[in-house]
Amino acid sequence: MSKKKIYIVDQSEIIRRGIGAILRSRSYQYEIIDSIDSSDIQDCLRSQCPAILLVNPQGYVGNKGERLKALRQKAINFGFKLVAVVYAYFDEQVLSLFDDVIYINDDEAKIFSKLEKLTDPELSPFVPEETSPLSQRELDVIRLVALGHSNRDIAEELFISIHTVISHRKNITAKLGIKSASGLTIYAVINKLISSGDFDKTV
Amino acid sequence: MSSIYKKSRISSDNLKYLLYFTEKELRMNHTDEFRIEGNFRMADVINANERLLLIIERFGISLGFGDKTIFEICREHQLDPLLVLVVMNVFNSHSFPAQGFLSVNMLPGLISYLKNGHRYYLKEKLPFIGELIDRFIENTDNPDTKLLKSFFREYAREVSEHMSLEETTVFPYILALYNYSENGEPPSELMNYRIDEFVEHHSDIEEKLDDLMHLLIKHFPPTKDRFYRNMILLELFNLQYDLNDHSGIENRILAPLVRQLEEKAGKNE
Ligand SMILES: [Fe+2]
Ligand SMILES: [Fe+2]
Repeated sequence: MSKKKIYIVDQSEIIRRGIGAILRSRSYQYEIIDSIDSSDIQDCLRSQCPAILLVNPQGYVGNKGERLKALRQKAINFGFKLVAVVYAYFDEQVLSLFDDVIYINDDEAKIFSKLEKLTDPELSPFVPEETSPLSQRELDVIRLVALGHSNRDIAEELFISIHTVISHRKNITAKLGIKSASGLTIYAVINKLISSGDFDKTV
Repeated sequence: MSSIYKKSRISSDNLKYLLYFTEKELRMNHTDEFRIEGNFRMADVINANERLLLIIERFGISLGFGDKTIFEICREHQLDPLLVLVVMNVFNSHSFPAQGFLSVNMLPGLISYLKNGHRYYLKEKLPFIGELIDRFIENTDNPDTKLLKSFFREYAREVSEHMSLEETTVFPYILALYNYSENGEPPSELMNYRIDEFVEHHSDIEEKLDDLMHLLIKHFPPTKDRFYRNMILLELFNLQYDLNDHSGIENRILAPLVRQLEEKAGKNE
């Protein structure tokens, strides 16, 4: 597996090298690049996208928060996580635009657990695909969910892995806006994927 | 500032709070939102954001307060003005104050506020929406709409379980911890629980709500009745907004305060 890139942007050399040293001390899975300001990030992003960008929010608070929003947008477009490195007071509203916050008092274990959480593919928030119609497989999954089957049952029945079932379910939720099994059941009845007699059996 | 101070005899803490919001306003350069401050007249605030009706109700403040300011009303009702302002501002603009502006002394008031919220959801709001769903089903030809009734019942049960867990386990723990925080060693049974357990398992009570809204907006085909369908949706939007801030207060104000108490009680050693 290739190393995950982490960019650190902060005015302070102590902070940059400090975080870099902590990350290197415990894990070889990160490649760390640091920079004094965000101007050269632009090029880096184009050539090699990081998994995580650690920044001091200070550089982004001006201009009615527009700069921060632009950075957030970039994080979404390029698919990296945005983490604030905080050692001064910032408003909750500022910090809420970050995926996580590393505080100056966080110890090594805390910093690692935060970063690991962000780079764990299982936990990464799902990015919805466009509102394409449901695929035949997704319809199959909905029907089985509506009939009360567990993800494991569905995996067996459709000869797919449980991970595939979970990813189908995420896609379905993104497309329909329905997450719960009983909500999907109603969807299935409305769309005649199952009969309402089946519904009575499951509820 | 000095005139406000004289008028309502606010403590230095209150001043700190006022400063917080003024500072914040400058920093964030908000133009579309306003910070509610203690010297505002309650009637003006309610006129500016009708959602706050729900909040003052939960603090036990009844309408009919004439031109009284928030500070004056708080004094009359023996409410902590800081707490009332924090909660009102959360609802007004979804802005949460930084830790330094909260104090553990707010906990008893906060818990009774949250309990009043629970009572409102369980005894008033959810039953009312349930009735609207009944009316909707009666007034439409589509038999599939009957499914909404059991779905909603299931949802209401979830909410009720969530809230009774808070009232039977979490709040009593917090109050016991709070009571002992002044009188030395907390009893041993308190040591077995931690507020982080609550935060970690603080379940999402908005999932099914979201599903229901999507079903009504997107998935049910057009129905003969439109009035009740819209009414249900308006109520659900309302509830969603309300619950969101309710949970926000539990996670971002209540829990951090309890953590402070736990640290004081030496639980984290
Ligand atoms: Fe609650
Ligand atoms: Fe809750």
